[in-house]
Amino acid sequence: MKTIMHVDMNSYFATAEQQANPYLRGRPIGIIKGRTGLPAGRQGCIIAASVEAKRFGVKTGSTVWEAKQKCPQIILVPSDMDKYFALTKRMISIISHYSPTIEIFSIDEAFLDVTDTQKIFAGGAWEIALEIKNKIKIEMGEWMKCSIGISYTKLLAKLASEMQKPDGLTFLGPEDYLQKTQNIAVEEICGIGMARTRYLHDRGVFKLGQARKLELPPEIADLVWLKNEEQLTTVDDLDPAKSVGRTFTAFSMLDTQSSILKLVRNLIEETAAKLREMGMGGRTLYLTLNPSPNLGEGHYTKTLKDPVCDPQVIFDLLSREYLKNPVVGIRKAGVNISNLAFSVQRSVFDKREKVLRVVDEVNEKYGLFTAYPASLLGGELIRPEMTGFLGDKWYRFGS
Amino acid sequence: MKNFSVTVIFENGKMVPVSFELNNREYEVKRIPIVFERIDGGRKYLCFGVDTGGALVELRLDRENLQFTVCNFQPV
Repeated sequence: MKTIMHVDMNSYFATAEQQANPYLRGRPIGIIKGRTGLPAGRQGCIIAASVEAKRFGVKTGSTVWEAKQKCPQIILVPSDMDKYFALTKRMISIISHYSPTIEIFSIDEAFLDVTDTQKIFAGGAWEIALEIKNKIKIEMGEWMKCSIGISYTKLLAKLASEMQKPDGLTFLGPEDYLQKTQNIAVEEICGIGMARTRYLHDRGVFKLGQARKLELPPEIADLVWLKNEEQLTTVDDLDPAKSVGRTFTAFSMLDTQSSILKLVRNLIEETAAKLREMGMGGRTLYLTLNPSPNLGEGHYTKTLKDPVCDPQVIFDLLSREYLKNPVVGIRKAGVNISNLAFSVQRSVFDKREKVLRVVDEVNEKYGLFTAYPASLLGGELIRPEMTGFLGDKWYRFGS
Repeated sequence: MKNFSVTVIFENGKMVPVSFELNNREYEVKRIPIVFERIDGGRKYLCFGVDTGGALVELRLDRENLQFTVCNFQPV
């Protein structure tokens, strides 16, 4: 039987901001994307709430307006993904001292297989967990807290870490896990999404204990009996990226074709730079523009014979598709490049490759967007930002 | 971002800012709640989030040219 540990940083982004700014500690804060100072209706939603804000009912995904209704004293803090990712790297460095088999699940969660390494510690997995908690406080900051769950499968370890928050340590063993989990809400289980939750609620089932008394379809029964024995997926097990994309939601409506194409060009510059950094190119180009709800939605796609990573080529092709059937009045745009291949070879007589290489070298040395196309001049540049999901972890953490 | 002067000490092999001078005023670093790295392209910056008692400041050290800059000056 394996021993799996799940480390989950509590209210991660908000706690990191409280660590950086001691005057925010113990106060309800909400992390928002972008900038503060905009009218409440235009600040979007809370992407993370502190433990104190959660006590008022503020959740991740609440709109700023809702959050202010529930907790008028909430302090809004703009997100700083560089800071969170730097702390994540430190967390990974800490836990990697305790096991070579680690699955980085998201920016604030990781699984460790300590089946063999726990034998080195007199206190076994408990000692490892306590040491990790202690090291997180010393190396990441005294305000940083994590909950740790220990069990023999990933699903149970994750459930255990969620049973006691913040700063918890929970063990679920094979002899008592059914009894300890019978009062857990069905929607808390990883794998029971909205449709399955509705299916169970329609049958009057809200807790795992109730669900276990019913005859259920096998795929749901396995989840309510917590029978998932999925293995850890380490960075070495991951495949290279299948697509690279970037989306952006503007602060105000984009009403003209030129402003939309400028945003698209910016997103393509970023996406293509990432592709070149990864040494890849893509054959399928995809642009999505989400107009206001009453106007339908704009999707544009182009598939090529050979992979490309030149932003000028990608922009020319996608803008041509856009101009065949343009939409305006949008707030959100996304560019995605898929069908990826390594080692894109360009014509040896093409001078563009030299230009792109020089641009990459300048940006590598002096910072991203030091050199960029003149067509983006005169506006605010949109810079890359990672998401909490860490979709590019193969590239970020791989050897 | 402004260029300015920072006094640091080296403690156990690590750089620790102890004071900085900005607009002809000297600020003493009371505590450093967070130290982290920012990456911009290939450029790396070591960032010290410092508390002077009256303001929270991010002191950013460019690892390429070892120049400090001050960012995010927030009075408390």
